[in-house]
Amino acid sequence: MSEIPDGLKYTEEHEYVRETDSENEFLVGVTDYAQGELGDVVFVELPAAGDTFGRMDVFGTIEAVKAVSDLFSPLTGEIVAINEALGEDPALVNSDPYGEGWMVRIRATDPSEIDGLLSAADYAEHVDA
Amino acid sequence: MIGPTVRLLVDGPLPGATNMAVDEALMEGARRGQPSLRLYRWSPGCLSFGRNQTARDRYDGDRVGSLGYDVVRRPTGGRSVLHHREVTYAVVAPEEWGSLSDAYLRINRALANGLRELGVAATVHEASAGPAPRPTVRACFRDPLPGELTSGGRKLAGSAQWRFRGALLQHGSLLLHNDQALVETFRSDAPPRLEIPAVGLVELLGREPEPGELESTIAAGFERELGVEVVPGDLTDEELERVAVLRPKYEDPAWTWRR
Repeated sequence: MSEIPDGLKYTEEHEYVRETDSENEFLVGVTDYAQGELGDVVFVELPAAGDTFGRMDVFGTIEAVKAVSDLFSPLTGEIVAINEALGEDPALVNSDPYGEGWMVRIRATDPSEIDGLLSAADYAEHVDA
Repeated sequence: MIGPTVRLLVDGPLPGATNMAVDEALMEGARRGQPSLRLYRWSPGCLSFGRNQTARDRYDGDRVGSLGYDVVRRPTGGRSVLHHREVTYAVVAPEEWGSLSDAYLRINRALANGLRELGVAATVHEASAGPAPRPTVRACFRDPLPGELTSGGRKLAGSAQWRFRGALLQHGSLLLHNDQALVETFRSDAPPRLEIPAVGLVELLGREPEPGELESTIAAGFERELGVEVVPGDLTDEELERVAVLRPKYEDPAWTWRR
C-alpha cells in the first residue's frame, strides 16, 4: 500500500503539490505510488529556475531503469528552485518521495488552480481504480 | 487489459530519424485504443542514444559518420545501441496494458515465446542484485538487466520504454549478429575494444533467418503469449502526416546531442 499523506494535493499523473511557507509557492514531486511503479529512478531531468510553464505542460522527465516518463506541471507558474540533490542522487525519489525527493518549487500565477487538484482521498480512489 | 487485435506493421530499412518518428506517431493511435507491433530495420545502420544518455563530447559523431553510420536519439530511456545487423521491434499500446514492469515483462515474454518456436533458447533475464544503472555513456548490450531477453546468459535484445499521455512505447533491438563492440569504439575516449556479452540470432540458429521468418515468428509469439490476434496493417494517412511533423525533431542535432 503506497503512502498518500493528507494535506497535500495530487494530480491524476501521480504528482503531489505541497504548500510552503511562502505565499503561492509550492513544492512538486511524484507520489510514493509513482515511484513504486517506476522502480529504481536513475535520472531526473528538471527545468531551470526562471522557466515558466502552463498547467499540464511537460516540465521534465524521470527515467527509471530504461523507461522514461514525462513530468507535467500541475500549476501554471514560474520555477523558483529545483532540487539540485537529485542530480547526484536520483534515488531520493524512491527513498523519500514526499521529502528529500521533491523536484521543483513553483510560484503559481493562478493559485486558484490548486482547487482543481485532487485531495488525498480522491487520489487514493484514483490509484485504486 | 489487452485489446483483442494488435496491428502488425512490417517496415523495410529506414533512416533512424524516420524510424523514431514512426514509433512516436503510433502513440496517438494507441491512445485511442489501437495497439501496434512494428518490426523494422535501419538504413543506413544507426547508433541510437537513450533519451537521457550522456553523449555530447562522449561519442565521436564524426567517426560514426565516417564509417557510414547515422546517429539518432531515441525518445525512450536506456543506453546506446548499434542498429545494423538486427531487427527492431516496437510495441505501442494504451497505458492500461500494464505498469512499466508488467508491460516490460509481458512484451519480452511474447518475444521469447516466438523465438523459442524458432528453436532459440530465449529466456527473460531474472532480477539482479546490482544497483540500477544510470544512463551513462556505456553501451546497452554490456549489461543484461532484469526482464530483458537473454540466451545462455548473453543479452539477445535490449529494450526501453517511454510513457507519455496515456500511451506506452517500448522498442528494442533483437540482434542478428553481435556487432555491439563497435559502439564502444565510437566513444570519444576510445576505450580498448571490449567484448560485449551479447549474442545474435544467427549464432544461435546456425543460419540466417529466411525473409519474413522472424516477423511471422514474433507475431505468432505475441498471439500465443498475450492472447491477441495480430493483424497485418498499414500506417493511416493521419499517421503518415504525423511522421512528417515529428521527423525533423529526430533529425535535429540539437536533440541528438542534447546531453
